[in-house]
Amino acid sequence: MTYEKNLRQLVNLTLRLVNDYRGDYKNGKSFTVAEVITAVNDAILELVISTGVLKNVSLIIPTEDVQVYTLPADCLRPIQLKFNGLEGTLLLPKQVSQYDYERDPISDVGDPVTFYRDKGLAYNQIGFVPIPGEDGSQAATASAGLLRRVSDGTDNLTYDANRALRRVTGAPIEYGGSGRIVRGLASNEGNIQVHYVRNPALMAKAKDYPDTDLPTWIHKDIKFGAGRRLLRGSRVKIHAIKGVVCTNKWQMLKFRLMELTQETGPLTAGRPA
Amino acid sequence: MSILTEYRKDLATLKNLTAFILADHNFEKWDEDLVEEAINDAVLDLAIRAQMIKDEIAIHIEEDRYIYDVKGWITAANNAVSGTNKEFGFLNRVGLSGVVEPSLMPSSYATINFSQQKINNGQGLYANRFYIDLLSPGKLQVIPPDADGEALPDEAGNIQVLYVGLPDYMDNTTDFPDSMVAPQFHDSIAIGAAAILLYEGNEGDVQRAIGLDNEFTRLIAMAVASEYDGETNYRGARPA
Repeated sequence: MTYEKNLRQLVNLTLRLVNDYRGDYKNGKSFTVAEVITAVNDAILELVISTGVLKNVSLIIPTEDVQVYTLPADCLRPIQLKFNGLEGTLLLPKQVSQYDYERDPISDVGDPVTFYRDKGLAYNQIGFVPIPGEDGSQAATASAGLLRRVSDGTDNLTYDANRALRRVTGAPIEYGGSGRIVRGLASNEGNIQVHYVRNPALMAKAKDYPDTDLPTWIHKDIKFGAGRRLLRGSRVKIHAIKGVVCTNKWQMLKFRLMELTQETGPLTAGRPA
Repeated sequence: MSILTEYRKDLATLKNLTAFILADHNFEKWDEDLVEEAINDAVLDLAIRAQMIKDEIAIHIEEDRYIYDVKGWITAANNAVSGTNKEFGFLNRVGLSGVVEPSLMPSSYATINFSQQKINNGQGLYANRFYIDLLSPGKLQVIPPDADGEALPDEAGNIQVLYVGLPDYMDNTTDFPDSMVAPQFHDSIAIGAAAILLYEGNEGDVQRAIGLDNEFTRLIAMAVASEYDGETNYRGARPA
C-alpha cells in the first residue's frame, strides 16, 4: 500500500470524521456521498487557491490590434508574464487608474510592456498595453518551443512531451516506434508566456486520486478540509467542536504545504515546518 | 549493554499500543485495518514534520533544458545514497557534479525580475542556480549549461537532488517503521495514530484526541531537537 488516498478512501475518511459513516462509499444519514465528493473537491480547490502550489505555463498568442485576451482555462491567477518567452521581457502589472493618473493612453500600439486585469474585464481575461501591433507566431519549425504532440497516425498521443524542444534544426531528436513527429511548434517569438496558478484536477470516480502534482503526504489531511465544509451547516454540539478542530488542522496543513513546497534547503535558512 | 534498535516496535506492537490508548483492546470500535492505516499516517506525519528521511537522486542535465521533474527521476538506479527510491516529499538541496562540489544556490524569479536580468544570464559550462517558485511541487528549474552533463552515473555536469522522502509503508505486522525513523520515537507513533482515530469519535474522544495531538506535536519537536548538532550556525535551518 501507499500513502495515496483515492476518492473512495477520502469519502470514507470524511464520513467517519463527521460521525456519519454507514459503510464503504455509502450515503450517510446526514450527508450523501455526492455531497462529500463536492466537499472534498472544493476543499482541495480552496487549498490550491490559498497556497498557490499548483502551477502551469502557457502561451497567449497576440492578434494585431486586439487588446484583451482570455487566460488559460485552468488559470486561477497569473504569476508572471513575459513577451518572447522565458528569456524575453517581463510584462509589469498595472492598474488602469495608473495609466489615467499618468495621462497615458492605453491605446498605444506596439509590443506589450504592461498588463491589466481591471477595467471591466472578466475573471478570465487580461489586457495588454501597448496593444499588440502584430500577430504572434502561430507556428515555427526552426525555433525553440514546445513539442505539441507525437502522433501514431491514429490520433493517439504516444508521447506526452511537455518539455522544451531542443535542437529542432540541430542534432536529431530520438523517437521510436511507428510514430511521427508533428512539427507544429508554438514558438515563444512574438507571443506572451504566462506562468499561472492552476486549478487542481477534479475527482469524480471512486478510483480517482487527487491531482498528481499535489504531494502525497497531504492526502491523509484532506478529510479535515472536507469535514469542515460539511460540519458548518450543522447545529449538533459535537459537530461544532469538530468544526473548530477541522478548521485548525486545515489551517496547519495549508501553512505546512505552502512552506514545505517552497523549501529550498539550508541555504535559505529560516523556513519552518 | 542495550542498543537503540532494541527499542524498535513493529506494526503488531504499535497496533497493540494504539489499541491500548484507544481503550479498544479488541479492535471493536476501530478495526485492525483502520488502526494500521492510522499508524502509517502517523509515521508519515512524524517523518515529514521532523524531516527524518532524506534521499538523493541524480538528474542528467541537458543543454538548454530548464525544467526537471524530480519525481520522474526517482528510481533505484539514480539513487546515489542508498539505492532505495523513497517517494518524494519536498526539496532540500541541489548539488552539482557530486557531493564534493558546492550546491547550486536557490534563487527566485522575483530576484531576476527586479534586477531586470534575463533568465539565461550566467549561462555557462555548468547548470547555475535553481528555482522552484514558478513550478508545481516536485519540479525544479535551473539555468541550463551550454552542454549536456556526462551520461549517468557519472556525476560531472549533472545535478544531485537531496530531498525529504516519505517513509516505507508498513503492510505486514512484522514490519518496522522505516529504518530512518529513529527507534526512540517509535512509541510516539501510537500516540499520533490514536489521535487520528479519536477525532472520529464523540465529544470525549475529540477532547482526548486534542490532548494526544498536542503530545504528538511535542514529541515531533523532540525528534527535531534530537538532531542538535552543537554550536553551529545552521540551527536556524532546522524546523521546530
